[in-house]
Amino acid sequence: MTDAKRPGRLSTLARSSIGAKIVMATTGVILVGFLVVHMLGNLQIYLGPDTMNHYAQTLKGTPALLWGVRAVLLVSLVLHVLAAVRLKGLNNAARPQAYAVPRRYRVTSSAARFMLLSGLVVLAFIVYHLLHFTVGATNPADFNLHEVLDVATQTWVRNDNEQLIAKLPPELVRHDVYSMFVRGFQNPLIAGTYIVAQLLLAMHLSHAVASMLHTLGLSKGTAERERNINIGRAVAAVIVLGNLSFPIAVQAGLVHL
Amino acid sequence: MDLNAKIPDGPIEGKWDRHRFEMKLVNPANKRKYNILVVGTGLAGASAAASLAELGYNVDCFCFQDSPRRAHSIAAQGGINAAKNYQNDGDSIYRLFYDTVKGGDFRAREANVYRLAQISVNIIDQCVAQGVPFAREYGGLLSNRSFGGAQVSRTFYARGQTGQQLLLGAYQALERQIGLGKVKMYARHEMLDLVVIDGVARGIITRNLVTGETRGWVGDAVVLATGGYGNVFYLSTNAKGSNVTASYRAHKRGAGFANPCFTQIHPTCIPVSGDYQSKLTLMSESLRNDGRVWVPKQKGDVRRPEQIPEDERDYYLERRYPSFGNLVPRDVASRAAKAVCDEGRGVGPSKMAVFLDFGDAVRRLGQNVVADRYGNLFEMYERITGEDPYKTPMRIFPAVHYTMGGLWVDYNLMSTIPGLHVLGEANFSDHGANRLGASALMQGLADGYFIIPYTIGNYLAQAKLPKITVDHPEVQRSLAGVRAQTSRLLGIKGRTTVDEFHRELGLVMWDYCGMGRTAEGLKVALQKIPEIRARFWSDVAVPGANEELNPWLEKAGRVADFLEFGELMCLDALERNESCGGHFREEFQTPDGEALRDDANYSYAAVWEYTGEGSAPRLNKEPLEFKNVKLATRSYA
Amino acid sequence: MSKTMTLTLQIWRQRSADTPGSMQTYKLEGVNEHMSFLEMLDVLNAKLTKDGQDPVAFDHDCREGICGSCSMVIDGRPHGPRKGTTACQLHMRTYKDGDTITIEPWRAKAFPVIKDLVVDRGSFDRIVASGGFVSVNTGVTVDANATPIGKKNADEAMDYAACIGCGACVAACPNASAMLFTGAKVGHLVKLPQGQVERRGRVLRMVEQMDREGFGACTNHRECSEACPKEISFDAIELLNREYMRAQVTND
Repeated sequence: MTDAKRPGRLSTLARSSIGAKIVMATTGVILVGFLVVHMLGNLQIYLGPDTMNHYAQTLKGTPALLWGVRAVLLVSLVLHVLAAVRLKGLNNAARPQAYAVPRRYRVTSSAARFMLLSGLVVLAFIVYHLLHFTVGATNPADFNLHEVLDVATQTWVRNDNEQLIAKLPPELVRHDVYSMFVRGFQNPLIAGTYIVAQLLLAMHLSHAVASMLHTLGLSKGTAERERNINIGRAVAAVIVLGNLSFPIAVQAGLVHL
Repeated sequence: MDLNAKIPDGPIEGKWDRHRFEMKLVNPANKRKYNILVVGTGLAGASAAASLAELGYNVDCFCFQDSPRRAHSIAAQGGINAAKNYQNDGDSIYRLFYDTVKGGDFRAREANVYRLAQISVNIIDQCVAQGVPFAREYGGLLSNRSFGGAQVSRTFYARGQTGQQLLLGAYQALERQIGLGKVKMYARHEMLDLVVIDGVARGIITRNLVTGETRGWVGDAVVLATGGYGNVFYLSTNAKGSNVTASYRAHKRGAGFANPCFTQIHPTCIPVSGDYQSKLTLMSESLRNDGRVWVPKQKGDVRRPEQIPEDERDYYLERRYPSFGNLVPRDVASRAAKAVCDEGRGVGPSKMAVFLDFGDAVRRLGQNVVADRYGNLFEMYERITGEDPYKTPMRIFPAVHYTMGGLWVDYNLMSTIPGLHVLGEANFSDHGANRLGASALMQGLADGYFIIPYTIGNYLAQAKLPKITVDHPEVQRSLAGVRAQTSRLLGIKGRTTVDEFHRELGLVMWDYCGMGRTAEGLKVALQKIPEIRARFWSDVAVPGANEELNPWLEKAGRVADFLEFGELMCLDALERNESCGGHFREEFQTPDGEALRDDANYSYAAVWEYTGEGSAPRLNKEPLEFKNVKLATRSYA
Repeated sequence: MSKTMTLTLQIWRQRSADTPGSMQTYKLEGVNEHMSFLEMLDVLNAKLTKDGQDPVAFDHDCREGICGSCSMVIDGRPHGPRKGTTACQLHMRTYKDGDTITIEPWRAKAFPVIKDLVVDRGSFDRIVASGGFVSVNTGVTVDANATPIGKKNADEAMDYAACIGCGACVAACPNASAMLFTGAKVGHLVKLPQGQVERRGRVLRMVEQMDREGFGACTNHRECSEACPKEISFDAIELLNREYMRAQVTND
């Protein structure tokens, strides 16, 4: 065939189904990478308030990094959701008439079949989670907790005097993330919500990570593919077990104020 | 009937070269002014359509299947012969030529066979360039295996799916031309008549199998590549759709039909298991390399095979043919199986089967080696029969597999109707009275890739073809005839299904015109067939309507043609008072039961001419001359 | 002796592309265990014909598992319950007396139903026509052994080329994706030196055509390769993804 019939590069990628899958997979890599770092960072809760609050303070102290990461995550998430919606649309259109008799699947999982559903729940959770812990909109009382630096002892001390805090120079005040975290999860309803969301995230990731590896064409042969599927499940398990430990530990009283 | 084969002069080695030089050419710029109708998309049809389009001709291509890729060439298992001599074992063009003429029991045209052997080497080159994944050795070079009827390894193969891979190569070349707009493909279209105008083939009538629309097509030449007619026997290894309709309707329009009685019966098929049986499955001939064929010595021995002791088994092939044993050629092995079953020593529920036993092979080589060689075949057998051949002997029986007869063609592959070219199994071909294994694929592709692209140009350059359209009265007349037959079939509304008639015809053909034929039996068949035909036309049940997908209407039309064609086959078999290749007349055999040829009286191709309904077909003869191969008796004892 | 059984068949009946269809129930007696599945349908059709009813249309041809014509979802699985087996090679001994069997056509936008169990798979042909070939005209004079091909590559090419184009992969896929089919053809040709010249353009055009036909997108369920009667590996899809990405960053 002639060159004239050959489609242009970016336009094909943008229009094609495989292009959408590649967007799905590459944004997925970024999001999963973030989830791992996020979970590891939060494990510092077990090292006590000072470590945790210091970690939070450090992140806030490097706004370029913080906002850079947030921007990348936001773009990834938006693309990930858009690609998902597009693929779901394509896939629904590809079978306008459903089978009259229920299908009998051989290898696929419920996780794989209900990706959009688990994804939407996780998306709703992300919004809630941001409102809860990043913006402080849902539980402002938990959110507006601070520590101030006792210059004499060089230790950070909890202080709830908002008028005072407003007057102090920023280097003497830091957010009491540890207390916010613990107080948040002491509420059984919130803890329960987080646990449920994490279970759905587990479901999502158990297919997502392996699927990402398949889409990027990273397995050659059945053995490698089985291995990648197991890697995917392991990554999902590690992230979610780490995350689940937080509300459970607080509820169990292992982590307290 | 003009049976001038137009064989070029000169020594056999130079005939094709010389002919290619002498043939007239169509100027490249003029090729696009010609329209060629190609019917059938198997190896011959697909390769022809693609090659003609590449040259610049406009091609309309038709197949009755839902895709050109499903033509029955796809089912060929074993391989394709070529005189490459890659194995350095003494092969040559001349040897392939000689083996083919001898294997065909000296009933083929020498010049055509020689050309086939010459072209065989180009086919392999072409297919490799297309990306056909032939089997290879560790060094990266092509692998070969040996096949029946030859003492050299010249068979190229792609696992057990050689036909599939070659067809996909041709299909992809065809799809490329479809994508380029040079071929217009009409799938689910069946050819139901040939349009002959002023004695020249100028078009066809098709029925769109989805909508029922019948319409005419006109062109400057018609190429039929519509396969063989083994399904006249109802049960055969052919696909269910394989039929004689296109060839037979061309025959009725004036194309001579050559050697219709030459049919090949393959010895290793899975036996019939019941009345419901719809087709037979071939098991590769290679099984006979390690399997031993036997039946019980005693009639009516109902014991399980493993309970029958060694000295009560008759390894009849080893007994009758000590030097070739289980590896005798197909026709010999098939007849021997029939003979023991006729004696009442057949096995299995139907008593129409013999054992193919791998017990010795498993003991000698171990199950692993046997599995390595035949694992996929054993699996297939298990899938179909539910029996495990590692534990109990396979049961096999011969089945109709290929038809050597077909429309008569000259050296240019043109039939007795100018403009009508016939390729592949549909023509009376290069195989004489018996085809060697792995030669069908070779012939189909030789015809399509390398012969028709030259010879059709020669025809078109010389033919004076007036412009016509589908409104031509002759097209309309054919169209009306086809529509009338369709209405007639749908109007009978009888009580007997098409399959029941087909099965009945098949039994008659198998009993009287199958592996063993007698004048007496053939005469019985010639009485029975018209009788069945008469009942068919008064009592066939064809459900549904014309204006929809109607597989039963399609089948009814095909069976109607088989019911006429079967008679022609029997006539031909009756007329040929000799035994040769796949045609075994029981009156003509040696004292050891081998075929007895009569070269003095029957060294010709029998070409039948249609003379109208109810009137006896006329026999014409193309004498066969053997200047390069010495006529000899085949012996395998 | 062989056993016979009585079955209840629930079959999708649809007169034509533009009339709605529905599942119809038929009782069939005297089904022999040695029959093939299609022979069982032949028996049903003979009965329907004799009863003056419209028989069930289904595609079939070679009946030995290679032509790829037969195309029916049996009890929720393309080609039925046996792995690596086309419907025509499925035998009734798989079932037992009294069983109910459901049969419906492939379901995909790109495979519109023509009648009953018969669908139009022309979309597969058009995918091949868009680039599933090596552009060589007839008349090649390079000797077939001029380019050695390693046995491993030749075998892998053959593994992919074994596809019979039946469409079970699409039927099995929860998304009705044709990536196993397309990937198998891309894989066949990319494993061979002959396929290298058009490597980039081929995959781009074939994927574009695949999308245009309205097939869904792969979300890695792996149902396709499990349903494939020729057991084409899911590698075909990973390979297609790799080839597609490669095509985005290379030039021919």
